[in-house]
Amino acid sequence: MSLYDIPESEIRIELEDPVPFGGKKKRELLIAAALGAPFGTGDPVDLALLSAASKKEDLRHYEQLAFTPLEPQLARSVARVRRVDSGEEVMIARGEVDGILYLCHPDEATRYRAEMQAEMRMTHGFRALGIGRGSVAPDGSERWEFLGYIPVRATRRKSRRIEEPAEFRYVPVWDWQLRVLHWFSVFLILILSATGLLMGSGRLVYGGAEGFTNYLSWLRLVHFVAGWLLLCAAILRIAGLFLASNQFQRWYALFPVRMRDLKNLVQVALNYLFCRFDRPPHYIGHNPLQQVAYTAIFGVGLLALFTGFALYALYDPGNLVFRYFVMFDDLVGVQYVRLVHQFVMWIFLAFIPIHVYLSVRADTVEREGALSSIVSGGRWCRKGTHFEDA
Amino acid sequence: MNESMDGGWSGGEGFRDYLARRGVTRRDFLSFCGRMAVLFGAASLPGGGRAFAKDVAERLSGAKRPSVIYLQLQECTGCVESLLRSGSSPVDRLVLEQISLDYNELLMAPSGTAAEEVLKEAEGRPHLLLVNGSVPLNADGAYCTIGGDSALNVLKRAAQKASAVIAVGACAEYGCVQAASPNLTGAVGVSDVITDRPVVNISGCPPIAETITATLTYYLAYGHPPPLDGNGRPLFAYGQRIHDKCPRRASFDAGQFADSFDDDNARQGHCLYRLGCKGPATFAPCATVEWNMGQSFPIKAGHPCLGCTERHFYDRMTPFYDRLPGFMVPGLGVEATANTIGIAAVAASVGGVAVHSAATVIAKKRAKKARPETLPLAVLGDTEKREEQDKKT
Amino acid sequence: MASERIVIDPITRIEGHLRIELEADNGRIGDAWACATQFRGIERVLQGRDPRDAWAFAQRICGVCTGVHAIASIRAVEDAIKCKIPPCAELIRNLVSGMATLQDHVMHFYHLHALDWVDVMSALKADPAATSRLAASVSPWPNNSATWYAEVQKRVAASAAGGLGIFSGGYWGHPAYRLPPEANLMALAHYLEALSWQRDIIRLHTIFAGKNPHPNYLVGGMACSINLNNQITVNQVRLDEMAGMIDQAKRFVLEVYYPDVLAIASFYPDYAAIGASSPNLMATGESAWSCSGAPAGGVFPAALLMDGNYGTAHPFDPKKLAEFVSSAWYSQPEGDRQGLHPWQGQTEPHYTGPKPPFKELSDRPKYTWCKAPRYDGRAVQVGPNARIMVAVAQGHAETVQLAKEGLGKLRAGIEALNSTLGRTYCRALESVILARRMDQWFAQLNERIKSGDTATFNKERWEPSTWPKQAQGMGFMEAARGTLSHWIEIENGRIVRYQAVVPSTWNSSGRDPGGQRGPYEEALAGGGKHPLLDAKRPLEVLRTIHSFDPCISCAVHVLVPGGGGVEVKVR
Repeated sequence: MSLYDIPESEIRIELEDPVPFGGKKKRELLIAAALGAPFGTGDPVDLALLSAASKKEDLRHYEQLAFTPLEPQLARSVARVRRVDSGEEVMIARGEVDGILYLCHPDEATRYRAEMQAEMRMTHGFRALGIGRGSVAPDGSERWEFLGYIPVRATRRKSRRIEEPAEFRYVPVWDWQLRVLHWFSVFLILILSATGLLMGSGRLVYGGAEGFTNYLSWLRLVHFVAGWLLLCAAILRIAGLFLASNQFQRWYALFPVRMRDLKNLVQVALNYLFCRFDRPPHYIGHNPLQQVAYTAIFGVGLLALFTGFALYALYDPGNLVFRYFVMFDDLVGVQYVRLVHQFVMWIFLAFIPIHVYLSVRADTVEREGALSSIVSGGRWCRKGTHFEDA
Repeated sequence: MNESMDGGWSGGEGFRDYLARRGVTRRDFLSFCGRMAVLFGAASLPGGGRAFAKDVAERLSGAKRPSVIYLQLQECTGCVESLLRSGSSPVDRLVLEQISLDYNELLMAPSGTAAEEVLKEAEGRPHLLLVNGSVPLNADGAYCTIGGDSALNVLKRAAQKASAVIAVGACAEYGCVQAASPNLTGAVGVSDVITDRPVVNISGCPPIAETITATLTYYLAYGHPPPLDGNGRPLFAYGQRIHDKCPRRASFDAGQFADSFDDDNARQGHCLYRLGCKGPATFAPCATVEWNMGQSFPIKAGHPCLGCTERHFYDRMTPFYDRLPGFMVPGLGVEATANTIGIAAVAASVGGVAVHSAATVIAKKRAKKARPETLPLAVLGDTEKREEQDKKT
Repeated sequence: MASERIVIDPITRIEGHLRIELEADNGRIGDAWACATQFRGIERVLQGRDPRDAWAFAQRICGVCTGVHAIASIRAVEDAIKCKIPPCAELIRNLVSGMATLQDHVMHFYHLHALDWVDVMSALKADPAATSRLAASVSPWPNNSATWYAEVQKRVAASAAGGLGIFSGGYWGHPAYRLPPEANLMALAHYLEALSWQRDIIRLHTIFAGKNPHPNYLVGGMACSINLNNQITVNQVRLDEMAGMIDQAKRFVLEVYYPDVLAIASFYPDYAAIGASSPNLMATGESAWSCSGAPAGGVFPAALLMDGNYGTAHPFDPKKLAEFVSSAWYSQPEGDRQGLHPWQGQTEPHYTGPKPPFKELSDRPKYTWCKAPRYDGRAVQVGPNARIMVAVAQGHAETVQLAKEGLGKLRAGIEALNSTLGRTYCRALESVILARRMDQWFAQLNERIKSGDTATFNKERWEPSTWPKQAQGMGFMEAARGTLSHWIEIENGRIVRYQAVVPSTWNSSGRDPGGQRGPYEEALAGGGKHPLLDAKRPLEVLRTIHSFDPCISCAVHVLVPGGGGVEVKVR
């Protein structure tokens, strides 16, 4: 059964602790509530009650003899249930607490308490499902007893991930080559930044060196070697853009060019800015915002390489290749090339915290598995998730 | 003698030819040489007057030095002054024995009309053209006129028959200080105006004397300009950076830097990099040829290199005492270095992450607290109809 | 009277580009116009830059008087930011400036000026032996053998045979050349000797300031460290080298330059009465002297001689300076008749002359790029003769004694110093004093080093954070060519206004709104008696113009526009 055409999978039922009255036990109340459901019910609340109660007692011991559906005027449904082994018959009434109380005529204090409490529960959207148990005297008169109520809430399913069914599937995203390149580049960029900073700031460098230790020469050597290796990494990555079989690593995955991607770009951005709270669209590879950010940082990296080699070229301005870099130096002015080179390092250093944070966030908060994917190569996705780039 | 050596003969033709044109016979000429020998007191010299006369006759009839026109346009004369300091080709040897410096405003004897005539004549013959100074293009060239004509026209005329054009100094290369922002006079270099042939640029403000004279003597010796780099500068002088040959380089490699002028490190002769030395960006022979006959050069003498052989160094190498140019922070009118901005950017990024994660936590908590949209419950008798009725009431 | 219009352009053997237009009649000059024909706008470039960099820009105003603009600029900055420099740095600056001035004076005389007096071609007729005797009679200079003079003669003759080169087109044989061949040969030999001499002695710049031309200076001191125990710093090797250079410089000035000037002057005594210029002369101190702020007193106080009264020195007041643009190609909102103090200018270049190529400039009211500075409304001469005359008027003993001797030999009075010959003579005279001063400064520097005080830089005011938010400064320098001052205004660590008032601006200025001629013009046209025999070969004019040692790149500059009138604060 469904109300308002909401797919069942999106309705969530929450049951709170049953609130028994008159010295009854919670278990008793819960079982009674479950037994009050019509046989073969599809109502989510009934299903939840049955599921909860079946953990307490085997409901197959009971059989339903009759069921009177809820009447608007009486606001209660009544089920007649017999325990198979003993043949004992009871009636279970379920409905609004008011209605059940009216049926059961408990003492004034119980009535007052039950009404107050049920009312208070309403503040968080919980409503009280009152339960009454009745027996038929041999004279045919009915005797009803108020068992208590169970707070029930039905909401649309939201990402309270703890309560979600843990049904995941593993989706491979990044090839091992890409992951190795990524972490290798991270290593190189950290080395380059550290050596660059030390070289650029005499104050940091100057110190204990007694005599000539070639401290700065070593720094430079490390910087240059790392620079060459980063160039290799960049070449491999660029080759990968066109050669990789993995669609998420190819060049078009770096640019949000489709109309839908552009729309999603806006939505993802709004999500990050806390302007929207609903779930952003899912991507296996990079979402459009990531595409833009990572493509830009690729560009910045290339700029770092270019300016770096433009400065390196000054060692050998006559070189067949370097002469073109030197021409660039002359065009801009070496000092400004140096300035850009240094500034680019700061862009990287400023990018790193944001990048790490968003990856961790994607893993822990959004369950998108970005962080794990760059380590293991794949990510766990909820079954049935719709991916924009699948 | 006075009459025979007036402006009518300027050395382009052989002295003999000139005399022949003036109707002087060979006999007259030899007798003139004998007279010269007497004048020189050569009779008392070894070999006697006869040998001397023969020697003089040979030298006077054959010797023709290559003609050089050395223009000075919009400039400060520092480059010619530098030339005068050359130790490898002392200027007296250069001017008396190696070239015929037919026109140079700083050194030449005549002025005014006589000077203009000399120039006109020299321009008509094959010659080597050296140029100091930039060419101002604004105001129809009124920012620099010579003999009533603009520097542009003077240069173009002199370049017409020049066998080679050598731009001496930063002004002639690109305009130097007057071309620095805002370049009121529209100053440009020689190669911006003379575009139909390669121009050799001897960079520097001013260039080292020996690089000027060596470029000249290279041309005289081999008949073509020396091999050049991408900026038209001779490789023998501008092929490497000062930094690569600097006597303080070992300190640089060791990370030993002067932090302030005349501090302990400076007194130990340590590297001036931190004081803004532009040696690592400057191609010049200062550290090898050195200045003023190899005496010293700025870095050796304790002052950071200004980078004066690099184009637009007044705009690109400034501030001279900082390692890198600063940024004007837009809107604030404050100047900051790349490092300050960089550190600020990293701080902002870390701060942004902190704020964003805090915001995430708050948003989650709020979402938890927020009263969710509850659905009607069939078990409590809610129906679509009832809902609608409720809404109406 | 049909007077002839004569144009001399280019004037050669000067720094920069100068054009002289004349009206002459019967071998006498009637009127004259000095036209500076180059403009660069360096002060405008300086706007918005770091004041510590300013010297390197200002220095490029001129490569002949290289260094003086740098010093004046640095003095102005130090005045603005209140920076005191260590005594050693002060002495080093003096030595560097002094050597520059000595080199400048000697080179001016031999290489820029001498060809006006010396007939090179006549030298080839001289008897080397007689020349040797002549040289020995005027000076103990040892390089005076007949062999040496014969060698020079042979060398120049052989060279002339292969092309006259720099001597081509000279006015050789002009009747105004009066030296006997032997004197010509002696001067020619010294012309060549001076070429190698200047190359040697200027290496003092290289040791203290890295290079020449355009040595390096530093706000707050000098960049060269003194450390006797290091290879690369100023150590005993360097000090010994410099002792040799100073000695070499002094010897050449005392034994060659000064005697040569006296010897040549004795053949041209009439030039002591030719070329008398504006009778107002100004000096702020002795040669090579510089200061931060208004000149308060050096060896002798800053002063002026006014209106031909050469006995009375009037104290110098920087407030009385004003620059006029009535004859110069600039526009200013105050109009052309208004003279502006260096700290008030809002002047823009505005060319109104004919489009080049042109025939004549002086037919229009504006004819030059050079402004007309005036002191208290007077056109003022600056330079060596002004310094010597001001020193004499104030009774400076050393100067008085030397001037008396020299004038005695020339049989002339003090007023003769304001003449073509006087200016040339004073240059040599002050070189003698300066050469002696170099010895004193060097001795003082050695004393300091001996006492252990070797500091050359004061870093207290290096960082712009230590500067006032707004500051004004002025720096004065007695450059080779006269009184130089730089004026700077700094705001938030940046230059907002920069101004240089340059010796050659005083001297080469055009007419002011009152029609008063500038010193060059006055020297040529004043009294209408200046000779000019041959309009095609204006040798006499060159003598008079060269006697000022013109430096036209220096002379032409432009005020930084922007800002309103600024009160002149004299500290």
